[in-house]
Amino acid sequence: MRRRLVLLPLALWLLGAALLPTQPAGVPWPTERWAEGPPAGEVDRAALQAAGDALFAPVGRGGLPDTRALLAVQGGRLVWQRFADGFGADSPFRSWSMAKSVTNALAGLLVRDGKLALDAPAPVPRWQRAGDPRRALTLRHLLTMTSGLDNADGGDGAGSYVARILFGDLASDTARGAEQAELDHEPGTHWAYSTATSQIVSAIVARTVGGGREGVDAFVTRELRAPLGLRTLVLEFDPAGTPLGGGYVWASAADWARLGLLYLRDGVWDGRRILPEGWVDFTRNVAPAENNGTYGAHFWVSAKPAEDQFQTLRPGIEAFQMNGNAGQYVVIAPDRDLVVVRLGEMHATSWAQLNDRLGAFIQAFPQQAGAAR
Amino acid sequence: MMRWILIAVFWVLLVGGALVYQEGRERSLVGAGYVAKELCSCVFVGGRELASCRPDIPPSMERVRADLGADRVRAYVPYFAERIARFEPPFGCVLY
Repeated sequence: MRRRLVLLPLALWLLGAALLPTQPAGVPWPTERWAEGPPAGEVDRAALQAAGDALFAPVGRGGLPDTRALLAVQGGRLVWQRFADGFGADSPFRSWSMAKSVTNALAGLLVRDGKLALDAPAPVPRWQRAGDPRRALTLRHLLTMTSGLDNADGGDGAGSYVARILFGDLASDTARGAEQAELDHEPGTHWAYSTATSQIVSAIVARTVGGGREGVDAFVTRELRAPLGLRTLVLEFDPAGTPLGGGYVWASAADWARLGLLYLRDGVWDGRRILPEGWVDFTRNVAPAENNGTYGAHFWVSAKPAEDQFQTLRPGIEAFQMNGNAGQYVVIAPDRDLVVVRLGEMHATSWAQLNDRLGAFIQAFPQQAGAAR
Repeated sequence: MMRWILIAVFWVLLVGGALVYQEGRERSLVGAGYVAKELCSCVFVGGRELASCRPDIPPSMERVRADLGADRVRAYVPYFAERIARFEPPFGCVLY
């Protein structure tokens, strides 16, 4: 596994992916507070303002703008933030599926510590009986959504797997509900977006950490909240004590930006390696599968989508991102040394509109020669 | 003859009604779960007022009613389903 992680940066470089920029000298890490300043470099300020205004323009049910928070971190500095009335710097925002990316971080911490391995059989006790084909599944398959399990999110609303897992008959024990899925594709060959799969990973994390939800929360405090200064991060749980790592994490816009900055900085924070070497490159590398063009490892990648896949941002932007229902975005753009956070709803906004306007906002920031190869 | 027809119609209505009720109950359980969880988290974790949170629930769930308690939200569809989400800090809202 270690060799594959080390080789990934080389593979990404050969594919043309931007290198991950380091924190500029003299810019303090935002563990306590953000260094602030105006956008730097050849920023198109008029375009930036216009795109920001356009994102806040659609007003939905309840009379609130669909965009509730918009924030940009460039070169490690907080350079732009705006909130809808009633929301502010300390307001926690729900993740929806951006929780999957937090689950990626928790799995990465355990891989760093040698307690999990990407290519070892996924430690799911229910799958370990002799003859069970799910014994072949690995953490890599699960994180890249290429497990081949018959548990995809799509389908009829109330009867869909994701609805049953989060709110329906499987919600009382999401791990048990998710782990009952059977294989319908060879592992590693077919991509299918699945909140149930994220619940399987969440349960693996919880079992590996131990101590129930108290143990998981203490682990998160020790390994993420404290080193990064995440004062508003809340993980929610199901009644059985499994984190809802497929859909329910809360944090302020600034804390979402801190998590984005961790990935922009290759998993290193203020001189301390938080995520193992190569983990972020594994995360932002499009997973090989016949029908995948835009998914890495519990993160989306701005690339050409396969048929029926989600278009995450308009073409021309090199980024990887956390994405969640109703237009939650933490975009990490290495070649611009940029993290952009957009949080809110989509009552009066389509995905196409949101992707276009957010794309314009991102493209107002210049690509930086020092960040791209 | 008429008697047998009436018996057949009775059974068709009974079985059909049971199936419709079961389908409605399953959908209502999911809907009530969604509303209970979303509103509980929005109010107690997100720190917003219930009146501010409710419009963020999709209009398709308008028939799901909700009561806010001191540490919980009860959501229900009369005669079909009831779910409760309880705020259990620091673990957010747990859906039961």
